[in-house]
Amino acid sequence: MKAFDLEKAIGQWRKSLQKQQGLEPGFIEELEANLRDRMEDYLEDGLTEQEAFRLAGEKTMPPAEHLADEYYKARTPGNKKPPWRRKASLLSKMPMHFKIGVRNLNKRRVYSVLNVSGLAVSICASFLIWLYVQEQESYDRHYANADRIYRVIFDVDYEDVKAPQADVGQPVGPTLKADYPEVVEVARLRRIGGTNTLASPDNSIESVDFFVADDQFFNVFSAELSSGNPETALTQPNTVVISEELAMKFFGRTDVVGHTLKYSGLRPPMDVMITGVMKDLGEHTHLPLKALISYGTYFLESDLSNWLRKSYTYIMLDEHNDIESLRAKIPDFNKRYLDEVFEKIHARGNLLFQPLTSIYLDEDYLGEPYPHGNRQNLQILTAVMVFLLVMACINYVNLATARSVDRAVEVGLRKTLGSSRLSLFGQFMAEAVLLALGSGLLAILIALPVLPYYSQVTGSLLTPQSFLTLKNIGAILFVSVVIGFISGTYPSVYLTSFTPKSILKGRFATGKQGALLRKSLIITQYVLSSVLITWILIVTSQINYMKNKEVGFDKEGLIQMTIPDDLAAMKNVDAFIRRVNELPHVRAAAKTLSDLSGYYPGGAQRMEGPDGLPVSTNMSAMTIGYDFINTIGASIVEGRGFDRTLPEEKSVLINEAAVAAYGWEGHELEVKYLGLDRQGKVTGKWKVVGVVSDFKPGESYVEKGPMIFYLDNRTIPESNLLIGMDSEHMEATLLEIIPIWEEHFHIFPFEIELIKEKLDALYWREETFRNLLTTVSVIIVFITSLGIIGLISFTTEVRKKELALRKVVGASVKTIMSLLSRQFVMLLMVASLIAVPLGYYITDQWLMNFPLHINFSIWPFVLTLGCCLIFTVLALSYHAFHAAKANPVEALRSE
Amino acid sequence: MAYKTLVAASTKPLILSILAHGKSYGYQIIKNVENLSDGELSWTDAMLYPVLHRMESDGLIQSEWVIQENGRKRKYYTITNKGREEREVTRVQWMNVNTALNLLWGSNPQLELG
Amino acid sequence: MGKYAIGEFEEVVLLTVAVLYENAYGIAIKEDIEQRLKRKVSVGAMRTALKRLEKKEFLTSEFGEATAVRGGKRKRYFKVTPYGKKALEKVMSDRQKLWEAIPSMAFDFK
Repeated sequence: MKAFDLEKAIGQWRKSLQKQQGLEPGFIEELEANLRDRMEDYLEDGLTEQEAFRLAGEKTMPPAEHLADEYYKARTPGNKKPPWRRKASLLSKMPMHFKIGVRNLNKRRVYSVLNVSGLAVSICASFLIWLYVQEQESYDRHYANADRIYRVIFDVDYEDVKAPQADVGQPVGPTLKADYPEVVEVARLRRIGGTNTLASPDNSIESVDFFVADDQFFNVFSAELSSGNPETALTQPNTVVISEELAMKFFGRTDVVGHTLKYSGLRPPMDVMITGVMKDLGEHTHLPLKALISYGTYFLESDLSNWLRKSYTYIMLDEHNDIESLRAKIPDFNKRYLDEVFEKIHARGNLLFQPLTSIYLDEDYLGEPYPHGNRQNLQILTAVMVFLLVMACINYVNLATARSVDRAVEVGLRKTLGSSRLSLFGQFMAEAVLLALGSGLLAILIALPVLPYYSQVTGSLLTPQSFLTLKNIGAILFVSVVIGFISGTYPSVYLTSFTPKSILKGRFATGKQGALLRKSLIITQYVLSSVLITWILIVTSQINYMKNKEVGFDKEGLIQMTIPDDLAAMKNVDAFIRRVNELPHVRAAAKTLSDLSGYYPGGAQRMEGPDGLPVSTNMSAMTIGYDFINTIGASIVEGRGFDRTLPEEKSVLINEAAVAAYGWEGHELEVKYLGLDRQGKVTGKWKVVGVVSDFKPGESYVEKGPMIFYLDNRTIPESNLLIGMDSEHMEATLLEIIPIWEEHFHIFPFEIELIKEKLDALYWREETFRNLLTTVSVIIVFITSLGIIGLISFTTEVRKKELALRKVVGASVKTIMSLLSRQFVMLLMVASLIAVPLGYYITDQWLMNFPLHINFSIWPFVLTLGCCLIFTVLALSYHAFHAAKANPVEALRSE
Repeated sequence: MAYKTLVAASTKPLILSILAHGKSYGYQIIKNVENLSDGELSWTDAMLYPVLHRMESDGLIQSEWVIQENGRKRKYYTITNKGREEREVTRVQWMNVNTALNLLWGSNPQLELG
Repeated sequence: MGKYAIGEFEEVVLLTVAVLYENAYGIAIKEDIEQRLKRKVSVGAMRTALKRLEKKEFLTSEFGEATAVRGGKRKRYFKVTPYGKKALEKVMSDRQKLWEAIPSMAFDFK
């Protein structure tokens, strides 16, 4: 048996007391003196040292916690539990941890600034994104029972083209309600024509927001009437319910029930009486309508039984809200009512139910009253949001573990002084949370100047007042704290794992594990940044490619004007065109019903092939006036264009691609275009009089395809007038056109659109995407830079002594710089190895969306990596230069 | 063993009364109390030392470290004037209780009962 | 009670010291009482008793040889003084007188 070593035993006893919170060194010294006195007596009594030590020690009532309890009890009045006895002891220590945390953060200011700003920017950006996503997802949720309301839609299968339609036949709603008891309410509404006008004696408002609605509207939609009776408001013909906003515009007040407005839509103007004023439905509905005109005003009794006269139809289910069981009954409903109806038009139809709350983010169906939001965009944004936060956390972890050497000594000392690992863990967590909280506050500050930009991009107004709500601030701070917890955990566990012995003996090297983690995090950030930047470069060049693509017409030298909707003016159009044609730099001018920036989907068109048999191919059709081909700068490669001097009733033009598509290449132009009726019968043969050089209207996503051109030289109000001119002399020519315009159309202002601009605007989707990417990558590059700067300053700090020694033995500044750079260049190389294939894959996937796209090239990657390299070297140089220039004595002395 | 509350209540007067006779240190106080009580009052260190600290911070006693011949240190306590006043107050109170109990446990206590 | 006044526990301790003869030191005395009389003895009470007996000069004490297990600290051995022996004898004879005075009937508890 090992001999009992009293001093060692007392040493351990002392240590066990030191670990206990609440026992001060003075207390312990006194207790030790007491222990020794006591032991002396025991020894006198004849006990062995070991026994004496054990017995004497018992008088301090181990475990040490009891002793500490007694001290606490003696000095604290009342019956309070000592801190170490309190359940949430870690939490109760937090105020102290926070105090120390503030000190620590203040002491390491550069580090704190790097970390706080990175976190703040990410939190700010993600929160704004979140607000937008929330806003988009909140559509229609404010209606009472919104979860029980469904829109009924027609899923029509017409000649193998499936096209869901937003509106359904008039009897659908009432029949559903009559046949199925779970359908408790039905409402129908419809927009008549494009725009409608409501007019008071001194005010007239034209809007797309006026709908005809049946008298059940208020049973389904919980719109509140500020005056009028919702039960009866829409029962009579020639009545209208208007929004408070409209009432204010017309009358300057809202209690206007009984007043009369003049309504003109597709019917001749008529008087309608206001029977209700409703509170505004708000912006967040897929139906932001402003006025409801009673159903009887527009629909006749016979319309209401017509299954092909359609309205938007909404149903509300009973409390069970069992939409699936209703859906199961629909095949039967189809059989009973719809099949017969659709058979007549050679189609098949089915009823679908679309939850009210998802309408806004679902895709647009045929005949939607308003354009919709885009769920996919929201998903991308949500991903971006999460991604940003993850990046920020990564950065925190990175910077925090990077400083481990610095903190390790502190950890070692505090552990020696008796801090428990838990208490140290609490300290580091407190620092992380504090830092994150600071970032949250900063994020709120950063958000304020960004709000106008946010409103502009998203189209939803966000003012400082509406942003700085308690809820938002709370949410930001809450998220910050959560981030603090998440990102603080790893560094806290890591930093508190050091054993004092190894640190204080100076054997502490930056843990291999930690270094590996840091390196992989940095590589991840490098990879993400360079992939994003590469993507941006590729999106940009794709946009430029599409914008600059040869379209087969002279887009630079084309202007477009709208023919005024005025009988007198319209009579002058042809004269105007003649006059303009005389101008020196004008190629030609032409009327057209088609728009060069429009989209012309191909439709199946039938023509005779060279062998006399009909051939069906997709062709886009444009309706043009005389001289159109010449005006746009295309040419007739065969035959002739439409000629004013010839009868052209049965003439068409096709383009070269169409010639090829119908197999007429190399044949004499003896083609017949076959006009078809809806049943597919040939109604007449049209002669192809000429072949036009290929050109591409609309977006340049796809190659020029087969086209056919019909002649329509009528002067139609609101149709287009194109003038082609020498783009070099455009300004001078425009100056000459203005007086001619004023001469012919005096009261109508001279307004033109440049075709080039209209075409460029077609790529807004890609440009928005690029802007989004740019914003995100600016943030990510920013965060990455912070991470890299942090890591660099850490590395140089760790190697300070080594560098000093090297300098002492004669290393040059250059040697030291290259020594330091090596590691980062290596990281960058590894990152490139990952980034290039990844970037290639992602951008390739994106480019696949475009049948016409640029070819993949390595240059964006080279450029991106070059930028990363330059940045890294710059950041490195600063630190390395400092390290290299520093007086080695300073570094070596600091022990 | 004496009741816990009684021990707690008597600790302070006992310490003050011992120190009123001269300076002493913690363990010696414990031993003195044991001797005085025929070993019935056996204080633990965990009980005494916190009380000593409390009394010191209350200004009833004061302490100093004294180095012994054998090189060990001991912390000696002496009573302050405030401590003497306090001892006098508690002495009177304990005497009152003592007198009352003595009379009650005597042969013929004067009691009004029923 | 006179000059040989002695308490019950003191008497036990004093007797035990006598029983142990050359080997009477604190812990041995305590253990012996505990074994022989099956009663729990607290160190404090025992020490107080020893101290008091020494003060009354019923006991003397001296230090024994130093041994390593007590870190060079020596045991204190106790010895009954002649005066102490007299006191014990006095207690014994007092008790004897009392025993003899008990009428035999007194124990007939039937």
